[in-house]
Amino acid sequence: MVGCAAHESMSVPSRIRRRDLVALTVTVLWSVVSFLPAWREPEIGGVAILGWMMAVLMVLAPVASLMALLGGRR
Amino acid sequence: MLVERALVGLYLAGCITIGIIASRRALSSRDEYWVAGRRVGTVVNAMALMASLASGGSIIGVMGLAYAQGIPATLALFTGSVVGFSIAAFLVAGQLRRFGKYTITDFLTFRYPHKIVAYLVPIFIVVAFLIYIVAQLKAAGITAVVLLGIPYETALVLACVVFIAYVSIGGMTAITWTDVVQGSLMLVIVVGAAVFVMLREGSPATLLVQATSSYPELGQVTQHPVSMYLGNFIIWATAIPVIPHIVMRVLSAKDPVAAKLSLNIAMLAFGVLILTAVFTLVPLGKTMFPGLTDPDQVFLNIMAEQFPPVVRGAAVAAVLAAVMSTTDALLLACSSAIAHDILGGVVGRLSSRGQSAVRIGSAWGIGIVAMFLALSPPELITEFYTAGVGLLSASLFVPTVFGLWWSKANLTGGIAALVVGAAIYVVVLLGVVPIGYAPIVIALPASAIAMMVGGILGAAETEAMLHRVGALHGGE
Repeated sequence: MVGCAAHESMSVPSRIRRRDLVALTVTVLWSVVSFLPAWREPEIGGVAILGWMMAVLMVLAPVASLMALLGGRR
Repeated sequence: MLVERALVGLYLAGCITIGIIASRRALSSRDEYWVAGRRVGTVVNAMALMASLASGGSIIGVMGLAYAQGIPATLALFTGSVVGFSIAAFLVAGQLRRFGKYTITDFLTFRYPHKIVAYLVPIFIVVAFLIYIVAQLKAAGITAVVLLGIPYETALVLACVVFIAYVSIGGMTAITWTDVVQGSLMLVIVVGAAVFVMLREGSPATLLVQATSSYPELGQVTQHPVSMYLGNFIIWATAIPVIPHIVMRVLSAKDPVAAKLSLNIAMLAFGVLILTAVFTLVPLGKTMFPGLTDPDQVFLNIMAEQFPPVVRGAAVAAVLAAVMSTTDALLLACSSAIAHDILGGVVGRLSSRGQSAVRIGSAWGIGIVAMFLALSPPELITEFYTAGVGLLSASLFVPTVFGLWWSKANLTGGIAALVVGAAIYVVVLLGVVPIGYAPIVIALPASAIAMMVGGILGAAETEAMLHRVGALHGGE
């Protein structure tokens, strides 16, 4: 879907910018890894690792997104 | 409770005043009413976006959900929203802002020009948002009961009359101004309360260990099948890019870059709000009030027990702010689904005064229906409205994102994705076919498959349409 074949005569869709793709991939990968079964049982400070990974993602996603956007503007 | 009531009275009067001031500009044109003239700056839009998303669910509901179903389940749901902001910023915000119309229905009917799309999309929006609004009204009602000593029904009517009034006359301009005030109030009260609790009771780590030692279920992933955690995460991650009240904020940004930047700043503010509540106030509430019959009341009990009247009054105003900042945006989006998307053709032929009357009338109509439905409120508001929002994720996400990024997306695929996603979501949600997975986990892939099958088998999209969509990507 992203970055479609260049041979097509149409002008859409555009290619997603590399920075955006990296940030989006990091966010999606972290989300996928967070839901792996391995993180459901073990706990740190009484909270399952799934919970901690979600908490980290809540900060990671906006920071990655902001870095991609501001980096692209420069 | 005189101090608390006086503070809340002042706050409500302030909202109405803003609505009256904004009405001079808002009622002058469609652009002013629906998207505030498209000149909202980055910081103001970011705060308004945060306030629009941070609803009664994010103050009352987030703590109720964590109290009842544990921290991992709650963070899975709310982190989905944050990831959704990322997806929105990367995949749809700039393009929709360049599109330059008023609603998500405008985009979908442009991309898939068919009556099924033109009528089904606003109907889905009205159904999902009525559920959302009812949940918000419950938050306002129980807050008034616990902290102001006002009967639930009275609080409901009062809150409804105020926010319908300023939305109906002030449009997007009024809700932008009120949302900025409301968003700031929410952040100050929740973060301020958390700091106060930390100074008095100990660090978040101490509070968390104390609470999970006595109530280990608070930190465990055992409350529900993991499919539910994943389902709630996916619903919000895919809803944010297409949910009408967020899309309208994107459309009101002054330019595409401001739209993207404001989404990211809003995400950070929202994350701070949620993490502060979950890791500080919830452990304290679980320890102090272990046997609450209505978990949604945990924040209110903390405020009633720990804080003086002035802070309690500000807390009521903050909860009302959270409720109203989301409900006003929902009401405007819902009203646009009727007055602009469904009746747009008829309304366009009316005089300027006639058009304003239809906009105001649709806002009052929806608000009053929601108020009556809220007289019998649901339990656990966050889960309730998440189910409603899931309908929008299941039906709108694939047509929107594929419509922007997949060259084979066509009319057949768009309609198939819309109908299949919605139908499967509703069938699984209502338990007509017991599958054992969260509905969205089935409905979203089904919608994507329907889009791909339709895209491959249906008639190819015209060059003209593809060039018009290509133009939406600008220089990206």
